[in-house]
Amino acid sequence: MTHSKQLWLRCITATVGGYAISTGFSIALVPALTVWLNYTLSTSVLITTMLSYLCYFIVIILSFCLPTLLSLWRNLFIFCALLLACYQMAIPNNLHVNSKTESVLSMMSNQTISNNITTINSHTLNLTYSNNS
Amino acid sequence: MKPDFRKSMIWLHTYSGLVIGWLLFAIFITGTLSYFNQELSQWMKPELNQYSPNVNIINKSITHLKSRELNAERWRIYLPDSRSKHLYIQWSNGRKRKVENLSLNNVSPIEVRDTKGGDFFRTFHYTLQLRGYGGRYIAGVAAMMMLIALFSGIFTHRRFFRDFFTLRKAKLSKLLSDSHALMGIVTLPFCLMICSSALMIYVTTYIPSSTQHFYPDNIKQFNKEVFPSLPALDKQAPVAEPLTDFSIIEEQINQKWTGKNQIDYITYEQPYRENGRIIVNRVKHNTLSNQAERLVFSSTSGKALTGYPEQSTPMKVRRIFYGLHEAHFADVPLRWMFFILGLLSSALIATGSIIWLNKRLAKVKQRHIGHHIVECLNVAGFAGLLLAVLSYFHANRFLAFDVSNRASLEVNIFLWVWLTTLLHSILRPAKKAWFEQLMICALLCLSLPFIDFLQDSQRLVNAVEQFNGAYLMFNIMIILSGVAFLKTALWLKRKNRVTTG
Repeated sequence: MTHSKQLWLRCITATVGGYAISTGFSIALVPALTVWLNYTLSTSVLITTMLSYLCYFIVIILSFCLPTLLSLWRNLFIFCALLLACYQMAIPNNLHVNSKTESVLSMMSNQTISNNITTINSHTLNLTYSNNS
Repeated sequence: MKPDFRKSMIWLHTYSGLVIGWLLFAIFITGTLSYFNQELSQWMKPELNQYSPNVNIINKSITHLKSRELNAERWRIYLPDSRSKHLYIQWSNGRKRKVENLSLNNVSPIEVRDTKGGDFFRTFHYTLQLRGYGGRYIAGVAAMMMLIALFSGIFTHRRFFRDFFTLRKAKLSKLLSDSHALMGIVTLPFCLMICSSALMIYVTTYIPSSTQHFYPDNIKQFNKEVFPSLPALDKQAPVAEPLTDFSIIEEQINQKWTGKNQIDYITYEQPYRENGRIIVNRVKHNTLSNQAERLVFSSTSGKALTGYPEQSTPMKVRRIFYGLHEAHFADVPLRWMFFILGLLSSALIATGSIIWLNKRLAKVKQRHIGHHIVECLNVAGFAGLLLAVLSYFHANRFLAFDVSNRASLEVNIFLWVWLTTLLHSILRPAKKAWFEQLMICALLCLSLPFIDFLQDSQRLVNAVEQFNGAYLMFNIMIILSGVAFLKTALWLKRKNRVTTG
């Protein structure tokens, strides 16, 4: 690969990839904060969003200083996998999460809940999930 | 890619700085000017300059508000302070909002020229006059790139102490790169603070995915949880007369907030209803946070009501970043220090761009089109922006009082002058363009106090009599910068003659 092509790929990884990873970070750590550390949903959303800048910054620096593109992408991939694992582990894993429940965490306690949906009260946050045993 | 960490950091420093340098310079200069937002606004509204603190301002303002519009849903009284000297009232019904300026002598309405004042610089430095077209996002990208340039700059200029104590004046290129490193070291903490806090202000706007993900249909719900608010008022409550004697409330405030002149502004919500309330915002001099303390009272009886709920900790952190950026807490010496650091950072950015060009022009024989573009943008982006800022001040004095859309006309003059400097820099050879634009800057600076004096000499007399620091310092600073522009222009000309001749 030519030098300039490599440079372009690095720039794209830094800007687009960095932004994508930081948004991923801002979403993935929210369940961990709410379920394990008992923060309210809005608090943990703010915390992860604020910290995601740090994530962006680190990805940009890494994009330009790792020796090869392959090692860069490998590292970023591992990081993404860790984030995903964290997200999956924090959401109670024996329960299938309602697909549009995205909304999962967003549903606050006072909303109407249908039969096959139950709520767990994890202190401050109410998780909604469909119970498809 | 370059294998060694330092080398890749140098590359990153060079190009992240080059790509965004001109934009950053514009943001830094206008942002630095908005440290003196209120003082600039005061200078640009010379009709305001009378001050006698003995009149009961608040009660008289309330009487004015009462006589203006029946059934207004909201009143607001902005109290003057020593920086702004501006008292004005605002009343609104639904979305319609009306503003009236009041004289400080007898609290009667006065005509003030229509201008955005120093506030233009404040809004320009983060919206870039592109509100609705993503201006704030561009400013955010610029802040992030500045952080990258700073971080990589640490590795580029790694010999801190040697750089700090070296300044070789003999050669232009040596002087530029030495002063670039020197200013970088001095302003590094300031720039880090400014750029990271700038990003924090719009944190959920720049990275909205988390809020959108967890609050898919109701961002309002998120805002409600994050921003503490008071319960909504019933608009159909029985009619009642609002409180017109503010002294009852003032007594209660004095017990809670120590010190004089602690009120920033007063809001009446639903003044003509029984359940109406008064919200008093405290000045931000004594808090790092951008969220002022607030007290709530009933608008009919003046009794204290339950105030705002406590903010969550991350919100407080964000508010403190916000407050650090705005520096409302800074008293006069600290404000000047911030101002000087802001100017140094702007100079840091400008020298960086100029060094890039000079280094490359010294090496190449055949010029690339890129060199020409950078050369033109350097002139228009640095000297041209300063020229545009100065012409904005001149427009404020020259435009007639009663021109329609006067405020936006001033802004348009700023933008057109900036565009003209770009054209000028394309048409003229670079060295001449630098010299000419700096000379015009000097001319504008030095003529401004005289024009102001010729228009109405009473302004200066009043300012001296009342020892109005804002007005006097403006004039002194503008003359000083005029002299600085003149010296730089003449020095550049001499240098160029030496190198070419």
